Amino acid sequence: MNILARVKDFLTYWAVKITHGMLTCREADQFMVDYLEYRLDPQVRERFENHLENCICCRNFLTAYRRTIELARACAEPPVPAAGPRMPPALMEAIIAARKGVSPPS
Amino acid sequence: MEYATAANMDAAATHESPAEEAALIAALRRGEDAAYVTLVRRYGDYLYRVALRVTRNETEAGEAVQEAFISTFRGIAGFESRSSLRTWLHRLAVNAALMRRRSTERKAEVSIEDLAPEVDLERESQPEWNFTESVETQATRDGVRRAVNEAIDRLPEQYRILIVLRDIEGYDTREVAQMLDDTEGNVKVRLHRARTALKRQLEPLYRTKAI
Repeated sequence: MNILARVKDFLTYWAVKITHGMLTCREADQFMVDYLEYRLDPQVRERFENHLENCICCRNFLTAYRRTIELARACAEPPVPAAGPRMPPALMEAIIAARKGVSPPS
Repeated sequence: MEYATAANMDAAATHESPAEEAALIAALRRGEDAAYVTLVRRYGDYLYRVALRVTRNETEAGEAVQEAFISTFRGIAGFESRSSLRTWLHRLAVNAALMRRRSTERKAEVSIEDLAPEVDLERESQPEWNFTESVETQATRDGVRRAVNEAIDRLPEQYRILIVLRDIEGYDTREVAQMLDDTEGNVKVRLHRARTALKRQLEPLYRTKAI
């Protein structure tokens, strides 16, 4: 075995050893939905959390990602229902009237 | 992820005790007119807002709610109380709204690639965020509410609907896949893209105090 092949083997060995089990940012990205829904296998979850511990970019990404979900939800409904869109009164009356044409439950 | 959905955040508006709900269901099963009126008046506005979120169209939302109530009138005998009446109505309204939504042509949309590139070069420079307020406080501000809802509306429809069904209405990924007749895997990929695109649009809100 020539020297270059030995160096390559040595580097490959350590690269695998050092990064064993570590996710890349791209892999971590693909697990975000399942992570937030607690649907990752325990081993994958551990690897994901290890990645977060070591990667400030992904940690910050996840923080804003979570905040986005929470904000979307919080802003969907008006603070008080009366402040949001209301069903037009004519429609409400039409629905009540429509019931008369529907067979009663059996 | 445990959270309050828009559906249960609005629970106070339509809240009734289990005994009251049981009484209402019993009266509906007996076909009492007054019970139907109570049902429509109690849940009408709430279901209308749900349908409006799904369809973004007042006419379609109205039709969807009407269909949901008619389905309720017809199906109340088969209602098994495994879920609350409210949850059942919610599902009927969402399904009816989804059917309306499918039948209507949508306006031209911005591409998801423009909103959230698949290869995100900015990912490496995610800043430390400056959240000076809780989500709840931030969401009381009209400017923030408007910015968030406009950002959701800017998403291409096949992405927007996932934010609505999964994150706002609170259905799980499997249920959303069933509703949209798609695979769970596809839904997850698109949901992640939709959230990422929405996050990008809302990032200015995470750095400043208020709009």
